[in-house]
Amino acid sequence: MDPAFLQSCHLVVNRVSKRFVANGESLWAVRDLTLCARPGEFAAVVGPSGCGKSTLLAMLAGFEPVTEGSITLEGRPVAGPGPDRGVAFQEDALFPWLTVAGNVGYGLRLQGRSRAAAREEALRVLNLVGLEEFADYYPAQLSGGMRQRVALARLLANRPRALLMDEPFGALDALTRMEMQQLLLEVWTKLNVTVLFVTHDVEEAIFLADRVYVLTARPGRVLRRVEVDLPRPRTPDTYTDPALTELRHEVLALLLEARNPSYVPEVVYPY
Amino acid sequence: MAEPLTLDAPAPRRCLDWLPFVLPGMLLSTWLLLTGTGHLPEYVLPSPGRAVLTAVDFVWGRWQLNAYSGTFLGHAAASLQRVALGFALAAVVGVPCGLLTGCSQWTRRLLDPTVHAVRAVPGIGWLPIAMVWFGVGTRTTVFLIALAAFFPIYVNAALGARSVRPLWVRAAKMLGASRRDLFFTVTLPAGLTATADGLRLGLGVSWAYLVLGELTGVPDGLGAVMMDARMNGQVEIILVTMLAIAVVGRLSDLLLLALFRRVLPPQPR
Repeated sequence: MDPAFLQSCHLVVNRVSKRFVANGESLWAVRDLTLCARPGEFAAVVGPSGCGKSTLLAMLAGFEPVTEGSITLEGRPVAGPGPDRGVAFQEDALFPWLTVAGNVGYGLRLQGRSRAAAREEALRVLNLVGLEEFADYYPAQLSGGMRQRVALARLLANRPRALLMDEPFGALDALTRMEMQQLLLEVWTKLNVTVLFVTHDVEEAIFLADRVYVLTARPGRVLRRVEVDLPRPRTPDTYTDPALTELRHEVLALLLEARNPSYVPEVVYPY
Repeated sequence: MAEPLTLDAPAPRRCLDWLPFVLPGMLLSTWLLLTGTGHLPEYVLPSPGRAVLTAVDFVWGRWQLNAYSGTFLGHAAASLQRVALGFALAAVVGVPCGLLTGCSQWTRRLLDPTVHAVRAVPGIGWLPIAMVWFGVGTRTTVFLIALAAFFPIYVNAALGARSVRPLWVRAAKMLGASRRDLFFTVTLPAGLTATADGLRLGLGVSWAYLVLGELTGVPDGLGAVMMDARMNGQVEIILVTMLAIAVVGRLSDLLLLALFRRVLPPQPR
């Protein structure tokens, strides 16, 4: 990778390692991992389970400190969770004691906006995800797919610089999942926000992203950076695009190869 | 058109369920039988009729049956005041302490061992020392109520605060919540249901300790009437006051529940 590419990135994970100590043994979950994303780019991270995908995202979000290396967003090092990075979780993380509008307006209220202003903005964002008429429902009254939309709206209301998504659609059924992928792409196009999307689903990664980082098994490292030049906007027809199938085979072959214990990956650095 | 298939609960029964009334009915008949046939003298157990008359007279004072005629409201007010004061003290200290214990390791290490050590002394065991410190009277009663009600309130508030899902904490931090925000916007609402349970338990305990405090010699209050009636040999008044405490205690519980219903989110988890 060339320095020009690095220069153009605003989210940079630079040679990051993460060590956990469990039962007196230390274990590298992530080792020397380097990746980056340009402003407004959709980047995906795929890898075998246990390769440290979620750990990587937790470090990006600021929930976990890095053991070595650095993570920067727009040149500022990440030192803890903050509203500039919105995190979408695998599980439902809405506040059950707040209404849909209350959940979406939560971050705005923290910023000191009035109740009325927060609600107005919440309704505007809910309109974006098509849930305006459910503003006064409680999360428990909604389906899993609707709750994920609310979770997305809650992130967007904060106008984050980057969205970090940790297999957010993993628990949804196939159809809802496709709807959510479409919705995410629509919102991403409209808001021009950087997305880092972690998933174990190779097809999902290729369908959504501009570029896919393929990780090795533990300790997680970048095995290959795969450029996805499928045309946008991506539609349900994209799923059957031969180019997508070809890329999918390529990534799957990489992943299978990386599972071999004797395999020594040629680790990719952007510079 | 065929009836639509539903999996709802069966329609509510229109006729009254008689089963819960069987046991009270049997007890009442036994009571009537025992007193009516003269097997038990009036000074041990007055007849149900007499008890009802006494109760009505205790509240309205129509017939001037005894020295307590028409004094219910005054005594009930005195008791309620003590319960309210003691319970409020317990809640004001217990809820914040419990919530902080539940959400902060530091507070937990600071408070929890001491609280549980003090809790090992039964509430009744505080009576003598309370009498030494506060003398016989209202202050001892309020002290006992506050002390005894504190523990269930504290323990349940701590439980509520600890039931906060770590994911909610992460979500709140990610959305920009400071530690202070976290307490007021996540710990407090998430722990509210358990805290409310603790407050209800605390209120029940308050009434128990009210009676204990008032038995020790205060001039007014339902517990005082009980003890006074025993010395005057007015058994029916003892029974009526027991009933009065049950009714007033239950009413205060319902009041608290109604309050929670206004405050608590309609979709608790």
